[in-house]
Amino acid sequence: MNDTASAPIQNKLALAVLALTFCAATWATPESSAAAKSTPIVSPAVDKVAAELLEPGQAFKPQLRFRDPWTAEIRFDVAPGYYLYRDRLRVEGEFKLPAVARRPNGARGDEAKPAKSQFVLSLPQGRYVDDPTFGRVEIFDKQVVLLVDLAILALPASAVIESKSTRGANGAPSPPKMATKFLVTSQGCAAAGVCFPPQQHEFVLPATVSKAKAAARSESPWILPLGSLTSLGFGRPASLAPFSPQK
Amino acid sequence: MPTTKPWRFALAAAGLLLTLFGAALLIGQREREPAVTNAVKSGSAATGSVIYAASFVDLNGKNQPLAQWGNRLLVINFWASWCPPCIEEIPTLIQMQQKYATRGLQIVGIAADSRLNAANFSEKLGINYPVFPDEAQAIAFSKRLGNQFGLLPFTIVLNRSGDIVMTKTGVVTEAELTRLVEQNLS
Repeated sequence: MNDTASAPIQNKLALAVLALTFCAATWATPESSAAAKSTPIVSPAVDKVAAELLEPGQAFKPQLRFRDPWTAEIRFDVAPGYYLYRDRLRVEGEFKLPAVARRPNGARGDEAKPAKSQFVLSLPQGRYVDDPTFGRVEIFDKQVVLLVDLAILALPASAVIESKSTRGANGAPSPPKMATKFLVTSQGCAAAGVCFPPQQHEFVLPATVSKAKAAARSESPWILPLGSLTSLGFGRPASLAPFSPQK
Repeated sequence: MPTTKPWRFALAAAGLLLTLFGAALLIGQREREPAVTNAVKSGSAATGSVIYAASFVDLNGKNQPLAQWGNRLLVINFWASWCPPCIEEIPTLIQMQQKYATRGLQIVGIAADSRLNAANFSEKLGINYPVFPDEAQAIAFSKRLGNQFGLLPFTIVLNRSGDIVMTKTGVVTEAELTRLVEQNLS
């Protein structure tokens, strides 16, 4: 009888505990947590411009594939309202230098290590626009495809890298040494009047791709970048002269 | 007797749930703490303290704490020589610095650029306020102040109390800065 009489009280108590649990859960959601308080102040001005902009990976989507053993193809899909500067595109390859067990003089050699080198690019003509600051500049505001000549390095990183194609035993040119990683640097702006810092997109080739490409004759599937990083150190020369593209 | 057991069980279960939740909450808070200390807090005074705690090296190689301008209407403009809209707005900033410096306005430029580029552009454009070239950290610092993608130009304005009174991504106009001066410098 007593148990029966106390049932409504227990019922209310249980409901109160559950309500308290719910309140605690609500209070602990990210919106009210300390982490949310770390969100910086955003003024209406920022809301208007910054909030409507795409993140750089969406504004400029790069993909890479191989046309043949000597040519890589990098395609940028540029979102409407955004543009890339033609003279700010750069592609570097990262090569694995072989280990040197012993130098000719008997000294201990080096372990295998990566080395970077810049590739020569073949770029289509862009669209010329008159920039009030920099004058006539060439931009890409739609899809653009860059061709990378894998056989010619613009800046030889080391004599150890033998990228130039050589002739094999049968007289046919052998494919160049394949980079294990491609670093694609780009810089662009939005027509809304803001610019993105230079971005570096990293394409890591699976070992199977690197080896298979030597024999491949047809186009490979597109490879997406692993990620993009802000990459500075890309400043326009102090003389205000246009940044000369590698040709 | 058997009819009360489910309620007791429910009560005990709810209590246990609450305890576990509380423990999880505490752990969660502890894990989030480093992010809070590294990021700018939402209170503008907290943002101001992050700004005033920073210092940059100027074009002459001298270290300049931003806190030295704590008693002024401080306009911090992030720019770079490779950013056309940034170059476009600099004449306005020069003009505002010249016009309102005596009333308590102070503009500083943080350049995401090399020292050489920043110096050459400063000279060419006739910049009349301190310029701090910091190619490595400028963008990262602006991100801490709310510039999510590191876009340029980016401008943040603090009043004399250290409160953020304007944050803008894109070119600032003379009208915007004049309004801030009128509102904050009597």
